[in-house]
Amino acid sequence: MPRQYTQRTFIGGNLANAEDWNGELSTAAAELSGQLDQNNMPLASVDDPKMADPSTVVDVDSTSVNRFFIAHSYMPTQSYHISECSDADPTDLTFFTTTFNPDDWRRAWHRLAEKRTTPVGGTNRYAGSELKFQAQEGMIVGEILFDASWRISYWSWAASSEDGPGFTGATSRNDAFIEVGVFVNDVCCARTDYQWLGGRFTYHLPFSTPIGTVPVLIDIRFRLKFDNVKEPASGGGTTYSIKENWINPFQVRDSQIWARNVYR
Amino acid sequence: MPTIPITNYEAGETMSSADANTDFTTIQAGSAILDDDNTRTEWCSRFHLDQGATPFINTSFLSMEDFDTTMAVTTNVFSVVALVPNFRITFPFGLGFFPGETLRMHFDINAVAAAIVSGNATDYLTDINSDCYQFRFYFRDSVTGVTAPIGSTSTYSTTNKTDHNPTSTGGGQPTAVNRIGQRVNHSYCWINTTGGTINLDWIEIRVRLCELPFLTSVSLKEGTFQVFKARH
Repeated sequence: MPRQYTQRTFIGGNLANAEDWNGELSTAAAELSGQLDQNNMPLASVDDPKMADPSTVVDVDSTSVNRFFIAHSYMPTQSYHISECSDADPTDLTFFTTTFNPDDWRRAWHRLAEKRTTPVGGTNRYAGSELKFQAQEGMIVGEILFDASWRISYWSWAASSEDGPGFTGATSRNDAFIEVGVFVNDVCCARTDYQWLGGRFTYHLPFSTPIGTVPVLIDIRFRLKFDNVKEPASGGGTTYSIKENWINPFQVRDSQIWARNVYR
Repeated sequence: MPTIPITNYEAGETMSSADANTDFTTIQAGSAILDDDNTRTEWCSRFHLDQGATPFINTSFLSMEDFDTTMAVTTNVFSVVALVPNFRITFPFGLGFFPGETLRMHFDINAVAAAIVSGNATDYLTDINSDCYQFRFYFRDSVTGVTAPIGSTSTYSTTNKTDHNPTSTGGGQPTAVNRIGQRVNHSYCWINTTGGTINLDWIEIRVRLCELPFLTSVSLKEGTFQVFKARH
């Protein structure tokens, strides 16, 4: 109710009509009793002490060395959310969140959360690879951290006549590529394109998307591309066979998703 | 103060001065203790926020950068990224990090060179982290004096070596080759879920070699580091 007008003017010397009195006073009281609106409030009048403090919700916080942590902070104009899986002890070099062996590889997107083998709080989940919260209409901006390791693999080729200890064949390296993507409610909002990954590398991928007032699920997905090398050219009666191949698994260590929901 | 009661009079009824005064006193008193029951939903727009000299939605922002100096990382113990100056953001009078507030940290830098022990048999041992260097954020609490790490780590390889030591004779394993000239990052979003205030003295980015002695040095140059706090 932006404006209030006097409907009945009381005239000096007259008796006040009860209906007029009730109407005038009810209008003033009603405005204060729940109808105060933007036009009643002065601009730039809300300062820090008048803003509500943030409130937090912690879904999961394991205290083990492998820390699973999902938390939310709800503020007046925005909310922050984080899902994290990290090793509290960085000297522990054996920690891996997830291992994808060659038998797990597909040509399509792999969802990091698809391997749910670690129960936390009675629920099988991989914190750090997915994040759920109730969004309000506005924007979501955020970033993922994805610590991936895929060591270079190779094939050793041995000439057929020398398939024994006297190995003189060729050794060839295979090239491994990875693409990392961020999906918000199954829609790809950011991707890295294929990146060569012959070791351990940590990807920081920012993302943003408009969002309505809906439940949100943000998760990390990746695609693996493995280029097999060609067999060495045979000739002169020599053929080659695979002497040994070593195909490394794909492993993920630390991962995290944080998101900021900026309200409209 | 959700509702203000007023007296309603019937036609012909004589209103008393006491009732009228009570109505006006109630309105006067109520107008000073308004709460969200008195306002319409979404009455507040961004124009109603007092942005002042510094916007308080994100209350604090500090950053640093250096493009001239180079740091050689030679230890496997976490130590501050020591360009000029050190990559430590110090809060002049301490920063109250209140419950529910969020602190975002972003860091990136170039790894311009790496020194590895080439030809060493350990090149191909199964410990796959022996060619890696690693970043992590640390903070110091100005009240307790405690220094502690924050969040996860970011780790990067310097070579493309395999993690396997083939037993076949004749060698021929893939050669460890330096991966240099890569831009590397580390970031974290820290929500204070402790329920209490953390008094931040400083926040810094630290680096280390994961292991020795295969990787003996990594050179870092041209870095940036930002920290800011979100409150509302």
